[in-house]
Amino acid sequence: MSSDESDAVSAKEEDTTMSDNDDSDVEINSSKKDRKRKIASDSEKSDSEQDDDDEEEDDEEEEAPKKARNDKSKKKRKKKAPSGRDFLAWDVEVDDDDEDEDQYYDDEDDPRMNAINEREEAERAMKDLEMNQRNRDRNKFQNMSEEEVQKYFENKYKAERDDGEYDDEDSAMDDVSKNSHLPSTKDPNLWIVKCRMGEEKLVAMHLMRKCLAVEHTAEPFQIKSVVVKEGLKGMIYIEAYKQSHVMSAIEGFSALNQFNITMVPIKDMVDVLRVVKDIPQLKLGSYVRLKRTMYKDDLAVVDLVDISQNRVNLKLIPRIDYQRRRGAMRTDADKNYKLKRRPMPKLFDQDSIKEVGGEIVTDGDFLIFEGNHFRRGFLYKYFPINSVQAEGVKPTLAELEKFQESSDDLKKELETISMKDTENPFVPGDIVEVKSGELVNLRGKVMSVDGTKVVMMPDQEDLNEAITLNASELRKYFKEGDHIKVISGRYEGHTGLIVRVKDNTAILLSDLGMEELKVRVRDLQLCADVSTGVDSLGQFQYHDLVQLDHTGTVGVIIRLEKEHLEVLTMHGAINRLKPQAIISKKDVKYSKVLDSQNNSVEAKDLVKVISGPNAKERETDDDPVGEVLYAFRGTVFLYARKIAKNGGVLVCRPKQLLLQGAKKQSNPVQTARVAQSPNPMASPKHSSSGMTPSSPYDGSSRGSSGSQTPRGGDQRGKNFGTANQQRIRRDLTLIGKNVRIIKGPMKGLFGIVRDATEDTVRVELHTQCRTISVDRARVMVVGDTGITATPGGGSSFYNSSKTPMRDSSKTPMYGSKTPMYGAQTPMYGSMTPRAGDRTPHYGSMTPAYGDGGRTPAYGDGGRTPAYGGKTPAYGDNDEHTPSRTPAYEGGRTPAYGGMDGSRTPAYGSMDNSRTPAYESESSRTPAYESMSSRTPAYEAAKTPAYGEMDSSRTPAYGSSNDYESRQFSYGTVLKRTVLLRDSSDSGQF
Amino acid sequence: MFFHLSLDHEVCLHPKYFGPNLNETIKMKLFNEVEGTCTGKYGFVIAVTTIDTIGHGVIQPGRGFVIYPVRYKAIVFRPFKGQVVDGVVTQVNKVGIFCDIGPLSCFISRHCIPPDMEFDPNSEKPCYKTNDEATVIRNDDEIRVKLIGTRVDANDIFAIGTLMDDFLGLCPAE
Repeated sequence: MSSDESDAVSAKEEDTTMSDNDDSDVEINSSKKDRKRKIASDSEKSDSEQDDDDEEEDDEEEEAPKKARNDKSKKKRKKKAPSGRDFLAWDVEVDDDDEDEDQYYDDEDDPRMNAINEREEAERAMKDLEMNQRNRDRNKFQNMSEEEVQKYFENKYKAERDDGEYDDEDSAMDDVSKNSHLPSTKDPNLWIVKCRMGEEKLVAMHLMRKCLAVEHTAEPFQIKSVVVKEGLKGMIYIEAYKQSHVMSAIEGFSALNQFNITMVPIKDMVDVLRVVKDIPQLKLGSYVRLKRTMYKDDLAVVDLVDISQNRVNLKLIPRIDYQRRRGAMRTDADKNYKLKRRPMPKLFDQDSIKEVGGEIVTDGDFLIFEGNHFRRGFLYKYFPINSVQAEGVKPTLAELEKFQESSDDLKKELETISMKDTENPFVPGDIVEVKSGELVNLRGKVMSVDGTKVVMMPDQEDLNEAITLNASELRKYFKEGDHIKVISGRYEGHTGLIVRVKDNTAILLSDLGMEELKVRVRDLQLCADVSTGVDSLGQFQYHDLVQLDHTGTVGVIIRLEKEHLEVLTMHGAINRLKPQAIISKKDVKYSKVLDSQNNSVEAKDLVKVISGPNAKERETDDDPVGEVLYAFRGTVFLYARKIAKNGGVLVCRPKQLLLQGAKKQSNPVQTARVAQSPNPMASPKHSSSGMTPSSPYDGSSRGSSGSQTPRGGDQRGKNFGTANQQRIRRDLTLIGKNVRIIKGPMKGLFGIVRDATEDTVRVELHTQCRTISVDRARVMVVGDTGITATPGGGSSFYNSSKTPMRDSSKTPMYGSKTPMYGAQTPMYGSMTPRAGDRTPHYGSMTPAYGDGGRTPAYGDGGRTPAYGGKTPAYGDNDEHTPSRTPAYEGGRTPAYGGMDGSRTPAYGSMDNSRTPAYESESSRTPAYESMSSRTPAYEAAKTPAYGEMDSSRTPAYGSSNDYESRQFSYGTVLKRTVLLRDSSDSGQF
Repeated sequence: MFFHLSLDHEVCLHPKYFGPNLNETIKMKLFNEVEGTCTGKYGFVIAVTTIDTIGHGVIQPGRGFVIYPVRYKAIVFRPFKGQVVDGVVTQVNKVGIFCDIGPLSCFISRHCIPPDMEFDPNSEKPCYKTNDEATVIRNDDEIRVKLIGTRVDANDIFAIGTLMDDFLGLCPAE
């Protein structure tokens, strides 16, 4: 019987009570008895024995004839029932009652004895009551005329309707009327009867049948109702006045325990029948865990729910023992085989089963093995619902992976959530919305949280009292545009702006890149402060360059999640990895590559993508512009803010790029050449004498400014001298090439050129983990047609751009080279450590001076003390070491000359340019002090020197220089200088 | 919204500028350093209008640089949530529309574009358009946007906007 039925029963009871007041002596009696019963149950003696006895007598008097009449016509009985005496009894007995109570406190003889008597007596009375009532009900209308019947019903239902209206009109009465429905001492009690598990409903049905069967017998049921609560295992409730009623009713039911019947206290009776909201339901596709069996604690997906049979079909990873032999291969030993440990979960493996002799039958899509169904490696099996735990299941990512759920994951997660988790997701300060109950859609702010209770302050003006609500009735509320942080789930730690909120999901625009994430609203939290989102995970950071495998695949981290990171590889693929899968972080800050116009491109340069898959799709679009994150071998990683894909990271080949600010030029080779070496006449000797080792650092410092547009035009062009000096003698054509060493102790080894000058290259060996400097004549580019990278051979294009004048200036240069090689040898030693050093530029000067080729220059230079340092070299070199002159002059003269038309202002601008140049270096090097202190001396010394140089040089240029090439270099130099100024600016200010 | 504010800035000057044009240099440097920048608090500094005071410089020990406190007035642009602004579309893709509101870049997610406007990747310029092509939003168009959120970083402001409100969307061409 359900609670509905019990309601019906009690309603019927009520009806009769109401309607039959007038003619029910027994009823009155019984109600009085009832009261007494309660008293008796308190085991207290009352002195109303007398009364009771009287009543008893009355009852007996009545009972006797009743029993006698039992088989007689009902008419007769009816006539007898409403006697005048009954009406009297009503009055009298009410009085008696009062007396009862008075006396009841006076004497206390033997409460227990009395209670037993009373109980027996009450039971008897009850029985009569029941009998009479039943008979009365049946015979009620027998004596009535039609009018009477009509009137009866009219009265009856009119009164009810009135009640109803009354309720509607005055809600204050609600409580009263509600309370009137609460069980009182007059109402039958609820008795808990223990029942065999799982048979609760069955028993209730049997009781119902039994009730119908015995209805017309001498001993009908005296219980009022049977209640089976859904989800409550092992017990049923029976509503009855007496325990004995219950016992007699359940007699013969093996499923019920007759000897363990307990009463529910009146105050708890309401709770018994309270409808509990939100009974967890298993939904298809939701994740559950098993509570029992071999698969205990395993994760499973609900495949099918069969409520009627109380079972659920789950999809899970089977645990099959592949060691045990089966079928024909079974031996005696196997028969006694006992599982020692439960097998590991593993997807169903047909082959392994066959190996151990197992037989597999196919059934449509399924494979059947040992009575279990398998499909795509998963086991599909029925389990009783109660062996499954559906609440609070939080599958780990590893588990989910095994189920190979990816895109549906979130969806499923969303479907099954209804805040069932025990934990309370709210924290003070959250904006919440009521999602169910009377206050639905009310918004407010969480003031405090206590377990599952949430105290919230509504944001309605009229409501200024905090309301306490259940956490399950609330959901978080966010508006579009809120800045939030994801506090759990896959995107934990991300911050972003909410773009849209829909149902349980919010779409948010991540702060990192233009990426839209779909997250559950409950995983969000308002985030007042702006954070940059997840930008580090252990040792890895957003936009780190990492090595993925030992074959040299590298990639840039484009997204960090809680347990994963996504890497855009050099091949353009996106790999989702665990941090452990990454071999190492790469540090390639200083590497550079050549773009489509052979401009050198390195980290932080701004480049345009002009071709390749990342280029603009349409003619009308702008070329995508990005900042170089890394230039790694033949791959450039760019970060383009405007591109939403992959967090804005692009992977390109260098040839698909164009340095921003660089002009497309018709003769790229020449441009590159001039750009790299504005001093084409620099003697190889000079270039080798100390500049080479420093060059990587020069490059990096300069490169940091990228190619920004010049600011503050008044300062432009001040750093020419520095630009010149630093830009000098770099040969980028070889960098990145694979070379073989063809001479010397390292002969035969292969490597990649990391850096190159006119006559030495630094080669990173493939075989040994080090980088060595090798003479350019001793390496051969692999893949090229056997051209060695000698200064002459390697610079074939160099020659093509050469002006006659340069040729003429070169002649002595080559001549001077021969002794140089000897001088170079000691230099190698000093070069290697310098590369790692920060001050190679200055430090390297010393060996240069020390080397054989130069020393005489100082010796006969007639140095005056005023010159100090190396400055006099400029002046003296002209006269005394003619072979070297072009080197110095070449470096300087075209730059200044081109820049300033006339000589005199050149010095002025030189002053300016020197200083920032030194500063920019000083900020990086400890050598700053010494350098700056040198500056005045340097300049003072220079003036006459240049004066001299001018006179000697001017004709030379006039005669042999072609003007255009000078202009050319001027343009390039100008650009570089401006860049340099920017970098120095940022360094200083 | 635009504000005319009184702001402070410290100009750090190299000793080489100590000379007759010192004040000019400070001003130049102030313009360079301040105009076009963005602070989370005040927004984008559009232009310096007046320089009120240039304080006494303090020489930095050990460096020789001098720091001048400068008080100036500037026009700043500070976007606010809920503000309706006009912008120029800079990029249109399937994720949404990017537009520039002066120095401020703003993103309008496809979720914030009226559902009757659909992304058309196949047209000559990618665009969002209604079915009847009555409104077409493509690059370089002027649109009226309501800002629904701003992300204020230390030196940048980013906004997201919506077109889902009355009178928002394409500005009628004059």
